[in-house]
Amino acid sequence: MNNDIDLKKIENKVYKTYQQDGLWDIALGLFFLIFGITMLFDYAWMIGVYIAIFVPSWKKLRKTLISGRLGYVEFGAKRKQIEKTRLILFAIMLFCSVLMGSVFAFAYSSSNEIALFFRQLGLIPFGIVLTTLTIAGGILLEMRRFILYGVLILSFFIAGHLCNTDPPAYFIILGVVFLSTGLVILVRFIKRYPKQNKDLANGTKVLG
Amino acid sequence: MVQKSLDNNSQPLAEIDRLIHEPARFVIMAYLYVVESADFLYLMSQTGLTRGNLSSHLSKLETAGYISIKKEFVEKIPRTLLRLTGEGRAAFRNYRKNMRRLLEHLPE
Repeated sequence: MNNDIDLKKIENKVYKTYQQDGLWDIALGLFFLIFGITMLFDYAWMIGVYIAIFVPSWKKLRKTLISGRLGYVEFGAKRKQIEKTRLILFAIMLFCSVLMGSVFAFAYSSSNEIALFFRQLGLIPFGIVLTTLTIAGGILLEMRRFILYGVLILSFFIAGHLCNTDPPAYFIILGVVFLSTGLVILVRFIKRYPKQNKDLANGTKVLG
Repeated sequence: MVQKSLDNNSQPLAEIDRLIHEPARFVIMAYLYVVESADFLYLMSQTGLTRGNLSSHLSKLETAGYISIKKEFVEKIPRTLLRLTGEGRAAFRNYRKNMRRLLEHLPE
């Protein structure tokens, strides 16, 4: 039996347990992998498939995975408020990132000194945007490893630029790293929380 | 010396809620205290208690009026939600207050 009696720690543990199924990592890994493959083979339709199929089914997949194993929890008003505030901040950051990305894309394509400066930086500005979003997502979900992912993304973008590596290569490597980590976490989650029978999962026959 | 100290502060000791004082029930109460509601499976996975053990402790807490058990259907699937009642929350707060008071007066 667990002996942790710090209520704040318990609440944090409850919240974090819900993010430890590895599906966030898999989603991030797939995003990078698909983006890399798209850049390499010019398969633009793959991003469409990711957005049209994986993104909508992800929530359902997560629900199916968690509900029969971990059970259901409704968080308190304080946690809901924290989540809401963080989500708003993330949405603002996402909007700013898209805006910055558009500015960068525009700057790359223009023909003045600014464009020259941006071309010298290669894809580093995009790396900064992706890093910021990944770290922000990590803070939002209270997953420290996403901060490490952010650092890894920026390192790969800088190293890739300095070593003149083709961008698809580091997109694919990053994707494989995140995807593999996610799969390891998912397997651990499945082992730790095996699927329970329906009666136990919904509490019938146990509580009358 | 410990006895003397306890004698001087016997009031909080008498006020300790024995129903919550049992470790398994304390953990159940603590988990339910930090969330709005949770289902049976969740409590089982987090507390590490067996099905029968958890069921028995929940029944005792429900009899005391500390938790409420609500059955509902979500997408045609039955779900049994457990939550602390107002009385349960107050009892848990009181228990923590009394325990803190009691432990504060214990000699080093």
